[in-house]
Amino acid sequence: MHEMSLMENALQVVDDLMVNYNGAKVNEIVLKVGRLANCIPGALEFAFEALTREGPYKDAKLVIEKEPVLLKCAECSQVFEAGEFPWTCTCGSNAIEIIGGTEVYVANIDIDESE
Amino acid sequence: MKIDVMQDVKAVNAAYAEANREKLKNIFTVNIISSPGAGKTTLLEKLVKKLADKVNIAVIEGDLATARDALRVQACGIPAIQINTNGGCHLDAKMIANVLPGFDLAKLDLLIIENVGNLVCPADFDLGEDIKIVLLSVTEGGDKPIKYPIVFLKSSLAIINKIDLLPYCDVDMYALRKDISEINPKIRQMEISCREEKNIDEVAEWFLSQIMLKKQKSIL
Repeated sequence: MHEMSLMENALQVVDDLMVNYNGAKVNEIVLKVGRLANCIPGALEFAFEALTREGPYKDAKLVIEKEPVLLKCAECSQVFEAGEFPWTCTCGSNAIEIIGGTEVYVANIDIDESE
Repeated sequence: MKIDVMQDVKAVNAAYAEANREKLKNIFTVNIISSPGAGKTTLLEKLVKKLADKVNIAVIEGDLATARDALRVQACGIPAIQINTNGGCHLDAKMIANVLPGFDLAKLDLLIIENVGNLVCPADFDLGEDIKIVLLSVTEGGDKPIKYPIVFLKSSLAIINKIDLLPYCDVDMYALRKDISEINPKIRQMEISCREEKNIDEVAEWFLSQIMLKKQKSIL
């Protein structure tokens, strides 16, 4: 249920950037969403639609790129992609640290600069 | 024109959380997370009775609506501030920052934040706490850790409540504890019954030791 507030924050990030591009129109926003970010793409899209009815985002497209969960073994330092629980390293250790996959990033945006 | 941004959407919350952590550097701060009805507020009432003559405690209560929980804690003689999220599914660090001026922080040893009843979203929002505690009651069923692993992954202590009701629940305690430790091998686990006041002393002792550790750390 917190997709709405995350999307508000994401648009805030874009707003802050757009101050430098006076009057430009946003074509596309690319979000990178970790698989452990507790975010449902459908709910993010819904929030995006609801929050971009007008303004510079009116015709903008939202692209969501899912990022894998990356784990690091505390025993052998191997970095690997997470599967199902329980998380175990190939060395047998279950002392695992999450090093990626919980984040939500505005990766890039595509804009039309005004004349 | 494409512009690379690479900005963390959660950075706003993270900044507030760090500011809270700085303000709370001498106070052991916990963020308690559970489903609705697992017994967070009841545990607080029992715990506060054991701890109130030894340490100075304050409580922040998070709920969608009403000040009922804060009133229950205040009835135990403990300062408590209620946050109503008005439908929001979790507390965030800014909400905590807004209410911290309501406490005399210089006098506190322990701040307990009772999050909104929800095993999902609260796990994602750092409030500036030292540790997260996940509370689970046996009446919810033994499959909750496997179904909601993230909160168990991020917590330092798992408290299993309502063990007085075990005879009436089809919960295999051994399997439940094994599931929890497979998700998070470092997590400490305790079994309690608030209703029968069973093992509340163990939880209280743990809190006292953590408060001591925090004080030692803040001196160093």
